[in-house]
Amino acid sequence: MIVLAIDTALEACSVAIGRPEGAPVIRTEIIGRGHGERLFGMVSEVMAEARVAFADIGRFAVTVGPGSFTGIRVGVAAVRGFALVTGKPAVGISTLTVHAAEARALGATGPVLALLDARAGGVYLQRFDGDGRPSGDAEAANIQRATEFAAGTSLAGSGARAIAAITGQPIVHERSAPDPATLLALAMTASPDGPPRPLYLRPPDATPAKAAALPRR
Amino acid sequence: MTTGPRLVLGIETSCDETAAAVVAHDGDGKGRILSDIVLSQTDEHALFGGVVPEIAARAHVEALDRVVERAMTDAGIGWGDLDAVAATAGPGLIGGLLVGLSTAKAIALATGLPLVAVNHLEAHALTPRLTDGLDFPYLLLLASGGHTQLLRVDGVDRYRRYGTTIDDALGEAFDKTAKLLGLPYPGGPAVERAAARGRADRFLLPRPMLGRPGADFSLSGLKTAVRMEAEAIAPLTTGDVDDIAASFQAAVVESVADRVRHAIRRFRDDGAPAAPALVIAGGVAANGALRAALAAVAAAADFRLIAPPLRLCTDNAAMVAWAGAERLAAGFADGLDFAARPRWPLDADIAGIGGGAKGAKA
Repeated sequence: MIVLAIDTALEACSVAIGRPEGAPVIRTEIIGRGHGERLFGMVSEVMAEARVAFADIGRFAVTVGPGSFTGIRVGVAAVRGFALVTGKPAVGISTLTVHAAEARALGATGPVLALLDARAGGVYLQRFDGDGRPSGDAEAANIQRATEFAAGTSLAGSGARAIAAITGQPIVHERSAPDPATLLALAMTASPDGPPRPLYLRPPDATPAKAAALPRR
Repeated sequence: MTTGPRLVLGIETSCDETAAAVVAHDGDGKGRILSDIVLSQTDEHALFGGVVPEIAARAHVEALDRVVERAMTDAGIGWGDLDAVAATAGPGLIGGLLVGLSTAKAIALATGLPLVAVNHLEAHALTPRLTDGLDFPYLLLLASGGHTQLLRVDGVDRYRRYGTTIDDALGEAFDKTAKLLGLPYPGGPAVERAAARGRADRFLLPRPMLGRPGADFSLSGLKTAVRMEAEAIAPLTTGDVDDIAASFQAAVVESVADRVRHAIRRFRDDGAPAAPALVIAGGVAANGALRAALAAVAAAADFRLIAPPLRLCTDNAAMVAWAGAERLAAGFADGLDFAARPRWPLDADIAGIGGGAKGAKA
């Protein structure tokens, strides 16, 4: 099966095509922002290079977060649009899952704590067991709370250093945007489970309206 | 160039409606709506007394693909029957715009169809050509929660802005008055209902911009006057609320009628057709008192008043599909790198009006 995977969750814009035979075709550009403008041109270029048409693609995959809310929505909207037109399934994979998988690929054998810098003194995190299965839900946490998850793990991701500085746990990698080759490998084996949905881990920034109304008699 | 009708899918996500529609544009310029799906998020924002951008963006991305699918099913067509994909690319809330535009780009790429990036204001502006087959040029009052403009519509992509608001939008003024009076969101219908029961002559409120040259609007002074009158007699009885709403609405209607009279004069000076038309669009066009006043203004000036059906005055995707079809017919199409524009004036030559640090509001 041919798989098209994209990542727009963080500073990179990545497009990867995996084929049953032959090497994957992967392109990554570090763009910071503007994923909505760059992504579709890149998809077109990578498909041309891989000599793949939409009709050939059996599955779409996308990173659903945590990451930039805007970037996540561009990617999710894109693959849901592709899936709608082609009738093929789309799978969503969390950026933390990709980070944990890459940690194993780099040699981590025991539990992994995947961590992404979430700014404002916080991290997004999720703990994975030695077989790569999640051993808890992903969440947004402050550094103090994150250290409580770290016992007995190797750390992976852009939030790793802040935790290692306190706990002294080993760091496997410090990636921010996930590795597209690892994403593609996960996408090939994932089981589609309904349309991809963003994984924000934080509520929308909104406060209920203050009582601006004048008192009534 | 296809002969038969062109079919265009339209997508609208610039504010709090997730919408998709399919419209047919016949060779002779006539249009038909084949499907028109609007999923409103009003309830999700009601608690906050207004549209919350992040909540809106989250709701759009959850719902849009199913809304598009429904529009295609209702139209009874397949992807291969379409001639283009159009989406609102601005002005509006950037989070929602990106969801709609990205979805449209994905569909365009996967089907090989052209993408048309549509200005939301142009979609409103071209709607009377879909509903009434109106010929260019005509005068348009666009009044909604986010926009207040008087435009001369000379053709596709050809607009002259006669007036705009220098502060709040008309619909925004209704919403803020409703909030002050403890009336529910959205404020327009609630204020109109209260006003129907109240006395419009009880409070003497200013008529903003009355008699001033030009056709610009200003609502913030009126808003302050309403607040001061209301605070002076608080706590309010239901009768007080009704009277304030009626007095406010009367002031708005009189101000708008005056601005439209000025715009009509300028429209004539710039060259009017034999049977000129005034079009009202946007959610505020639903207000009965305003419609009645504008009907009188139009009649006095020998203009036809055209008000598209309410469903097509508020945000919808049929107007986006139609604008896409009109633009396509005029030779416009856009690249997949088109950037969403939170601010996108129809008349790009006019700067410095209705501005703020980020430039013109619309």
